[in-house]
Amino acid sequence: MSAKKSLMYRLSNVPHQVIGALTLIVIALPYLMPVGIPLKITPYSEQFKAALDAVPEGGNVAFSLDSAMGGTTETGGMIRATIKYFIYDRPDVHIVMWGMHYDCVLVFNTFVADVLEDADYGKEVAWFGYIPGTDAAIAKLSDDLKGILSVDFYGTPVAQLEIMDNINGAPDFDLLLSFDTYGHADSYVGHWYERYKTKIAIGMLSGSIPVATMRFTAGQIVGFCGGVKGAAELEALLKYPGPAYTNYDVMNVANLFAIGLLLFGNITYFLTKKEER
Amino acid sequence: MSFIRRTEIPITIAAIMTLIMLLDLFTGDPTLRAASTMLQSWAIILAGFALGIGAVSLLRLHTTNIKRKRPGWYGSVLIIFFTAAVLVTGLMDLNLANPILRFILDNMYMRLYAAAWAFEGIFLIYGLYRAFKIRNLDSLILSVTAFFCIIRNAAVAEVFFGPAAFAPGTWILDVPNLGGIRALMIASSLGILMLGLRTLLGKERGYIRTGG
Amino acid sequence: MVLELGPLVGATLILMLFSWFLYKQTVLYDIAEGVLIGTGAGYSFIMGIKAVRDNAVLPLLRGETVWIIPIILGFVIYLQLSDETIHFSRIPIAIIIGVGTGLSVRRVLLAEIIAQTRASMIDFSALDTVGLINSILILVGTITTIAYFTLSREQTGAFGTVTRIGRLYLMATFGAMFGNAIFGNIAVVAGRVEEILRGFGLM
Repeated sequence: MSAKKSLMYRLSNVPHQVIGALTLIVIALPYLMPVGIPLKITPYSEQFKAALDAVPEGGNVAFSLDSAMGGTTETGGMIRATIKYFIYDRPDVHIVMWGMHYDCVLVFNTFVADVLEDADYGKEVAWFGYIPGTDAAIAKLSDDLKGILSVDFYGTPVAQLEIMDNINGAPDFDLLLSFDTYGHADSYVGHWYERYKTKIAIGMLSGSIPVATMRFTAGQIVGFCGGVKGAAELEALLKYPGPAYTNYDVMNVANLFAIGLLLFGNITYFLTKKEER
Repeated sequence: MSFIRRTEIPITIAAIMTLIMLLDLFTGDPTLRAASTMLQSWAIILAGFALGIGAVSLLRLHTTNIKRKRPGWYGSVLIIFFTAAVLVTGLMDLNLANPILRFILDNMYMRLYAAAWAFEGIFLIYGLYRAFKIRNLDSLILSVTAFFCIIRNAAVAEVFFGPAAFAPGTWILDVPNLGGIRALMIASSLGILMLGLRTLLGKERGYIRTGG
Repeated sequence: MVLELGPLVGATLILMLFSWFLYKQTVLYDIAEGVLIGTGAGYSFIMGIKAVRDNAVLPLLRGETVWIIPIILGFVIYLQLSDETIHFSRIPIAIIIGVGTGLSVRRVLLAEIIAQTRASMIDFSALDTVGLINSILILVGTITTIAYFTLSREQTGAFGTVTRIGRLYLMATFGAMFGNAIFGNIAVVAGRVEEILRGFGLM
């Protein structure tokens, strides 16, 4: 029998339709039959929490929602846990929120809006919506925040927001949190940290963990929370379990499937090669 | 007015803008600082205007498709309908509180955007199966490091491989990855510096479209 | 099993989009794609209008006449839609390009080149043996990988060996990025599976 018709050859060339369907089935199973895999907290998540705890009494925190809606499967949980932490556990802290991606309004409505109903808007928290321009916007906010933010998202002039009385730029913030899926955090490091030494902590996609490790090692950020795993750990640390925590065992099962595919692909490849010889 | 067609004008403007931004950083002169922050405000507003270009171009293209009954013009009807629906309901309330707009955004746009993002996940998984074949030293290192980093993210790996399951992945992230990614960042940053130099010298002309 | 209209519509659209990789490109996929493109284009336009209104038009109406210039330039951008007037639109685009390039150069100079080069330096007094070895490995990786991107000379001989090591470090970096990205991208797929299950009342 020629190699082309052999079972090994077929197994090493399974069409994407089959792999795709298998992936969806493997992911669906833990939703229908939860496994309950225990969560392991890593030092990086503890350092992120430590960065939140280090905000002084009455401090100012800038909250930048830079996630696209597609990425909120990873960042949504950490956004919600962090805002709940500040609103419920640290009501003394002032939160100023904006977004560098136009999906920030949808992200706000989905993960933040209901939590802010328990806050004193205008005194504890303010929401400015989407600011276009990325690098230009981030640089402008660092130097001259009120030069571009004249009204909040609801049209209230900045002068009427008590929280903004002593906030004019990066030096007035004790911490900047960027929940990012597009690299806006790099601009914050360049314009906020390198010029004004504002402390920055980042929440981002799993794929950006290598870059965040680089920034953390260089001392440019004080903490980072990477992907669903980091979000689940943060939710557990802050004691506000959410979507990341409930998806955790789905992710573990799916990861095992990914490892299995990697090994399967290589085994069938080598066996096919052996057959051809 | 033929002088306004000269490409030297926008090239000179871009060079001057770049120079102001750089001189503000290096000199800290108050006049330059004021000019720099003012220009940043302008760039923010212009970026806001630029968001609409995509939608307008899209509407033009698909209107032409429908007029000329090009293949697939039914899809163009759908695109124009939903663009118009979002625009009209959005303009009624720019705080996005209109219930029809909220329904479209929450149940259609958000779901489909994330689903399109999920394609990347499916094809990454497919790539893991098809492309990560160990053929030489390079692919061996690629596959082994990917393997250990996936293990590192799966807490359940501790059940199969013990507590030391995460150590190789953590070491890979903290040592070889750090060296490589730092170099990538430095190299790409040098590229951006070159781009800045080209803009200052007027050599960068990619944004000057000749027409169409 | 109670089905709500919104989640049901969302779940159906997700499955229609997924039909591409589960089967092949079908009219169902084309419909879902059309809905995505249409809603996305409209939504980005609305966000642009709101940003311009809040940050330029409202201050202008309050008497800050300085905002008239960027507003006029913003409308000039739209002249690129016609061949006769496209040359006017190059001016605001040049402003965006110039400001963006200048800020990018500022950012990478401080945050990437200087900071990362400084971070690569080894403090021999502060490290134990393992830390020292790791730091040396990182430094070797950084230097050899940068050498790999030197395209102005042939990568042969001793230099070729150096760049070969750099390439292996790059493979390790890509493997690490892929390994982490897989986890995140699976999460996105998992989120859609959850929406499908909830939309059809299976969860």
